[in-house]
Amino acid sequence: MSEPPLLEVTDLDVDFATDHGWERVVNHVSFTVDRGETLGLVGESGSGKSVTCMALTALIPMPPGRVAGGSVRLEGRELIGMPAAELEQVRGAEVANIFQEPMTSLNPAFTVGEQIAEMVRRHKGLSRRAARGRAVEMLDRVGIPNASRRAEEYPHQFSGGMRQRVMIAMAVSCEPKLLIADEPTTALDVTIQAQVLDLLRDMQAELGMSVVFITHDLGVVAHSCDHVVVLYGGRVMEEAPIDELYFRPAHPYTEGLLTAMPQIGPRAGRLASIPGSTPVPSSLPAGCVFNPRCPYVVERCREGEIPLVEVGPGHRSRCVRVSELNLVGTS
Amino acid sequence: MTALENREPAAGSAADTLLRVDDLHVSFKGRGRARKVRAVNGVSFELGRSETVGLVGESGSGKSTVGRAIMRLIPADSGRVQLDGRELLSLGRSELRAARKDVQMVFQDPYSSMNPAMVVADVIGEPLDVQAGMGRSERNTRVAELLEAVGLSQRHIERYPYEFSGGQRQRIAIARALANHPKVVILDEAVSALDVSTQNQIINLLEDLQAETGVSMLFIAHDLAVVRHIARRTVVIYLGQVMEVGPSERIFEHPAHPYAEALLSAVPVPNPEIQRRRERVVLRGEPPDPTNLPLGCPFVTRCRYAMDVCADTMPELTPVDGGGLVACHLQTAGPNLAGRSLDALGVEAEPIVPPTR
Repeated sequence: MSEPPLLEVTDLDVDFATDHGWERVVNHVSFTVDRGETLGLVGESGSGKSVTCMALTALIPMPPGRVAGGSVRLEGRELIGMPAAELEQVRGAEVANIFQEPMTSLNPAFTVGEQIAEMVRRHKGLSRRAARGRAVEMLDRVGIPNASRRAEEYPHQFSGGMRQRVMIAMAVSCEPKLLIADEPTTALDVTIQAQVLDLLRDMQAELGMSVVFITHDLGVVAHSCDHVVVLYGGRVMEEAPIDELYFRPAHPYTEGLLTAMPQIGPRAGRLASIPGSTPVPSSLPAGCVFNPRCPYVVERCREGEIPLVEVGPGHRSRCVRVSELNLVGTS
Repeated sequence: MTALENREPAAGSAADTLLRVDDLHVSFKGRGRARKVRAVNGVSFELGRSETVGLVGESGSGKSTVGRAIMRLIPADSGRVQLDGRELLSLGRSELRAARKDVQMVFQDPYSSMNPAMVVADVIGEPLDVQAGMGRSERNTRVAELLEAVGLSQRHIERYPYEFSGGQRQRIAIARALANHPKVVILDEAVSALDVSTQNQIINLLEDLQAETGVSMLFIAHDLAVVRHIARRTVVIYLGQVMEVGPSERIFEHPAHPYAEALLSAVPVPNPEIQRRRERVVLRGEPPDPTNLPLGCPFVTRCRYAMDVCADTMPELTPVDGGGLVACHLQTAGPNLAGRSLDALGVEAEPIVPPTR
């Protein structure tokens, strides 16, 4: 019926070495990203969302990490185990990353213009002069005033919001098919966040990119995403189209997250919260990993692997009680 | 400060004032030849007994600096900070030490404010030794009592800070802050680093503790939804100046200052349907260089209603319908909102405000 997805992640496992041997931090994670789509990868700290994304382009430091199994296919090509030289060509040209802290990915010793030009020379084979022109054009497109002058400046001369724009300019300079954005607005002020979210959306529409958006903020997800994967304890707990997830959640953890979001509207008594705290990989409970915190827990939640089951079109849930529960979404 | 003096209790002030900050100025020397940064530029507000006031602003607004200046962790250039009528800014060293018993602080990262080599009994117990001079058994009883109050148990008493999760550490920091029955606790981004479910546990805990002990809280945060929930009144600051102050309900529902309006509008709503159809005010540009602020209103460079008068004259704080004060020329000059919120511009005969820049 439809064309194959741009990105297909199947049963991805990632381990990290600890004092007690290998610990699994990403466990059989599967999802797909269609062309032009924005997928939200949502979870609290320790959910495995960032590690999953680093594994997509083999950015997991090894050691201490390892991709223990699974497959990541970009347009049908397997990225796991791809030779380094080939992978270099995919990164930047076809898949680009932006991170929460742009200073970790910008080189402080080169001007931002030089860094963008380097990207396009390398991946697009442009001449020095053409690459420099392209760098200025990109800076201008992401809304940096006086782009041609600012291309001559170093990363430290930019504010946090402007640096994130530089990162975006660099990431999209080679017109990648997929942009992986890991908490790109978390460190920004809310008025600057609004600008950057709009910019990302405009660039996506302009270039027809797909985006994987990693965030803990359900407000940002509501603004930016078409489809959402909810991670907890390194597992996919629920996956759904955006409106389905917010209005018809099919996992108690999703319900917990949605009802816990403080809202700006009229004050509604006490804030809901999920009891307990997020688990660490070394002490995951048997059965459903969410069971110790789940208000609907029953005996059968405490044993065996809980399967991810289809509950609607494009909507899957890892909850054995999903058909019996009447979960509450955003109102 | 005439506007501040001639107001009814329901306006910008607390009914039963405990902490009064008046015309506070704090500046930092620039490095090398850089000019002085005026981080706090004439901030005034009041905190009532058993009240929670939210202090909101973006990075560089001076919100944390206000908290630190109240605690005397950094020196103020001028202004007054009165706790129960007693001036804190002029206290000598030993008096200050005693006064700090009444004003405690909780920071964003509790781990950095705890000695990693101390067990919880000592982390929480230290202020009891130092400020209350308690003996060992009395102290341990109080520590156990505090642990229970913050939702931890006796068995945690001999553990080290690293053995706890972020949320639990914040509970320990709160227990320590409350150890000597302070009158005011200043919480500087105290829940910002926590996951949302943990964050809510801490907010509920703070509300419970306030109901039990009657402690007043100055809640400094950038997260507007959290402030909306916890604070009865809110102070909105931008580049070291108060833009708007008043009952949280009124400010969040009917902001009177264009900056407050834009700030609220920028927060994404966790509801995809509403988020798709709501009209947002996306601010242009970034805050101006803090060493070179505009002469008039600091928000003039980004304000969609900016008029000529805004560039060179800082507006006075004037009363707002529904309570509070706002510093904006829209209220007094230009279309003259005279206390009405910005909502009024929507129904006003056009043109709304001719932008002059």
